[in-house]
Amino acid sequence: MNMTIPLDSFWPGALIGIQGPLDAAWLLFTAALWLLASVYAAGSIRGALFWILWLVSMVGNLLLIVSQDALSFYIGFSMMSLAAYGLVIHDRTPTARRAGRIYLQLAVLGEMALLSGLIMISYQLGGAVQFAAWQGSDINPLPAALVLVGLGLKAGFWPLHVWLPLAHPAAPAPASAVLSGVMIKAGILGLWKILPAASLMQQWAIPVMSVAVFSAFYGALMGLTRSNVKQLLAFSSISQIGFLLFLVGLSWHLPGQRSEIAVILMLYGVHHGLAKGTLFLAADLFKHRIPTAWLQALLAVLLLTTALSIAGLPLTSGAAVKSELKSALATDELAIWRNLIIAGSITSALIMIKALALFRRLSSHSSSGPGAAAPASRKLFAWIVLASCPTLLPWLWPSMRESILYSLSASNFWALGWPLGIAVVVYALGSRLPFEADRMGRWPPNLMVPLSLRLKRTLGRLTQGSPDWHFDTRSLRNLERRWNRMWHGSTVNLSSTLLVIITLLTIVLLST
Amino acid sequence: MILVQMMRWTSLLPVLIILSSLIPALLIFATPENAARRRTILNLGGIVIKLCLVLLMLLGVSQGLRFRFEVDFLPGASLVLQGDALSLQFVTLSSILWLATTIYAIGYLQKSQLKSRFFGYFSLCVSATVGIALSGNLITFLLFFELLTLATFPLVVHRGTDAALKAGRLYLVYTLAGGTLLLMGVALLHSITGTSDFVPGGYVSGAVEENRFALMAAFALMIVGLGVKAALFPLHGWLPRAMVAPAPVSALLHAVAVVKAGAFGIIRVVYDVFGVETGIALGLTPVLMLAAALTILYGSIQALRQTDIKRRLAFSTVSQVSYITLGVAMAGPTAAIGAVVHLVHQGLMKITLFFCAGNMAETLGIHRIQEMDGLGKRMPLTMSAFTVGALGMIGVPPIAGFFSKWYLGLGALESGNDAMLAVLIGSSILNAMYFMPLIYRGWFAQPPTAGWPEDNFKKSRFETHWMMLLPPLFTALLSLLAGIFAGSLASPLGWTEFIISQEFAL
Repeated sequence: MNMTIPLDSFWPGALIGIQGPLDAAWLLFTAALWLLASVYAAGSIRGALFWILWLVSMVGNLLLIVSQDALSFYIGFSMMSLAAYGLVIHDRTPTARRAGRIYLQLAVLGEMALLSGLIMISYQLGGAVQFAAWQGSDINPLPAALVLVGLGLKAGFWPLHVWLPLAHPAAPAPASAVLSGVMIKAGILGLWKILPAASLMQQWAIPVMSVAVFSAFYGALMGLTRSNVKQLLAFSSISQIGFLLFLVGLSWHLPGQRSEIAVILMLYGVHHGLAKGTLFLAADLFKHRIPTAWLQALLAVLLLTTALSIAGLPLTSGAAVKSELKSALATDELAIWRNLIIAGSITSALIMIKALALFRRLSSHSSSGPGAAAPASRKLFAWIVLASCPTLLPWLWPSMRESILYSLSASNFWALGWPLGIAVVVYALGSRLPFEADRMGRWPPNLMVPLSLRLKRTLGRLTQGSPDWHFDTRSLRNLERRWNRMWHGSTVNLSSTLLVIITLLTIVLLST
Repeated sequence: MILVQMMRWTSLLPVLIILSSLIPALLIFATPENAARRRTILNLGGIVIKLCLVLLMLLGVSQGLRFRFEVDFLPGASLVLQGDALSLQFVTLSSILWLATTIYAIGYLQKSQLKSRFFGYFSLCVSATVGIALSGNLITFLLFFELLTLATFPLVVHRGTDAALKAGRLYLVYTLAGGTLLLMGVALLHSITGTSDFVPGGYVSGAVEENRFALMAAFALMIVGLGVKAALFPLHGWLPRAMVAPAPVSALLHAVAVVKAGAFGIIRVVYDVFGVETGIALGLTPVLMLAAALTILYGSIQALRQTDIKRRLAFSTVSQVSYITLGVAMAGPTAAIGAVVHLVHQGLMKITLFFCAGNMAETLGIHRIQEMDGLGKRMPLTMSAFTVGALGMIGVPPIAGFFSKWYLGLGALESGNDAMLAVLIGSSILNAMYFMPLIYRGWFAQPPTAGWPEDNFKKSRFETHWMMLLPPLFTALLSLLAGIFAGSLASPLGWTEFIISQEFAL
């Protein structure tokens, strides 16, 4: 599945196309999610600005997936990142504006880190920009770190996640769906494409995997403290991005298995993107009054399977990717990581159960509320198509079918089922504890919020000072007086001194 | 001798290119104030002829033809006009932007007085710029450089207000002093090595052994003289003040004529007079590089402090034009590509920004940044063009400015000046900090409930007069196309690579 087209008359070195199944699957699910989210958003979101930025963002996202060179990737990446600002602040509420400000500040910072990293790598490899030339060559630690930070700010794993729990809840639901479903995954895809599996990355693999696993736990546990469903889903994304980053780290750790891990990454990306997109859209859909009982039942079942598929419910796409992931960690040397991943799937299950509880509260509010309207049929259609992916995809898509069949054996079924069971028990016990969700949620404080505000205020203050720096000519006059006083009494005054100096200089210059 | 020359079209063409705006300039001076149609025909006719001639020369140079015109002028230094790849880049830029600016100025100045004087000097100014571009040696360059100073002064003070006259005086003080220093530098160099044509690699390398100190002094004098026009810190003081000039003048000043003439002069002096090798051997380029880096950061920080749109743009020019100087001073082929291509890219983007600022001021009376709230609803096209220009300045791809930054960054590493990459990235962040609020206000803030300060052109079919709307859209489109098609040979980047391959004999 390789097909590349050089775009000679475009920017230098432009090469777009598909290399391997990862790119192809990623492109397909990204396009699908954008399409379904557009169908969902059409009619409910108005404003030409939103739609223009929506399209720019989409073009950027698709371009970065098909890019096979650094310039195309960066072009797509910044189009996507910057245009998404308009999606985040669409509602114009103070919360949305604050979230947008932090998003934009970090997006610009991340882009600059990425750009400087790309320039350094390109220089180190003799000006080459095409990824084919980058693979296998060893790069210096500084550019690698810059690329990691730059893309990490987009991917949103701990500790670069600060913008994510603010921006995702602030954006309208279809925008959150694409932000969380596909845009943050661009960071992971970028890491995969740009940082080659060479010796430096092999050294970094263990730290990166540790960060990834920490991020998986951190996101899930922080999410449990939220009572707003979109905030909770945002934290769940931080947790799930941890798993994706873990796969990237694993590919650096085991360079020999890169192609196998690519398949798992592909399955995981598609699975999580579609499922998380569904859940974010559900946060809007379930605010509506669902008219008929059978429709209510259908939606509830779909929501249940989607949420639990993220937790690894057997027979869903989640089961397929979780069992693939575990089988990649089957060797004894990786046992500790396997155990951590299993523990991580317990926390994923916990957060999804909490999400379901919040969804239940949301829909009971809306069905009792008088103002809730029935959803438009295009919203229902888009959501149902999207929500059936986690259950249908494993049977329709050959790459996923293999793993789902493998997960069907009794032992694997058990391996997937027991973390889910434990999570249910823990949740049942935990929800009885006297525990105020939102008060806990303020801890730890998000440092980026005051920092960003301070930056804004500093910039505001700068413009308030006198805009012009005037050179005070009176000080010159004083200097001149002092100078004249110094020569007081002698026949030489200022101007003649200057003349002498100039003459001397001219003579010296002409005689040399 | 001259007659023989006249017979050959290759030597005639450079002169014709200058005359194609010089003759209209003189005729416009003689045009009565109310003969608007005649003035427009003269203006546009001149441009069309010039563009055709430039196109002819472009084709010729890319086929390997040489264009050279010479008359005796001073002993040992004749007046030489020649069209090489580098000069053509500047000529093409000025001609295309002249076209845009003339159309803009016709729309902008409809209610203004003394239009014949304005357009006369306007054309004269472009003749001088084109003359600077086509100059074949330092003496010729100096001549047109001074002519440019004189031709732009009446444009700066066009409004005749106290502020305008004050700014004009300051402008004259700075540029005449700069011109004098340049004259001293050129004279000094002439006394050492004589004046020969600009050649890639320079012509002074033979004199380095004996005249080391004098050469350094000549270089310093010339760079300071040129630096006044290129607004190098601390010689930039006139530029933000000159903002009182009408918008088309500011646009021309910042994008092509004055500031660019300085930057172009620095390119010529470093590459074609001293040569990169000699520059390094004399230890001159690092100093220039530091000055440029300082200016880049200083300009950006000053821009952050401005509340007036045009003043913010002016300080942004201070910063952006020094990218060119920085790239030249880094003395490597890749950095040189970045520098020379930024001459074009910055011109396209900055002229867009000034056109838009002028549209805002003329249509809605918007001068300050706070007044831009919700502008996108009233003037979507102007605001779109402004956004393209501003994002390009920040270096957001695929707008042209990104590619200058990419090559400058690569060039910084290639020439071993890693710190300059940090300067470029830091400057991009600062650019983002002072342009993003404008874009935010324009698109995302709510329009003022009390209405706009003024509201002109309500009866127009478009958001403003079409002659003021078309030029920014045209230049914004060009800066997008120059970025998207940067890899093709006809793009500024492609042509620049052709220039640099000659300069560095790659």
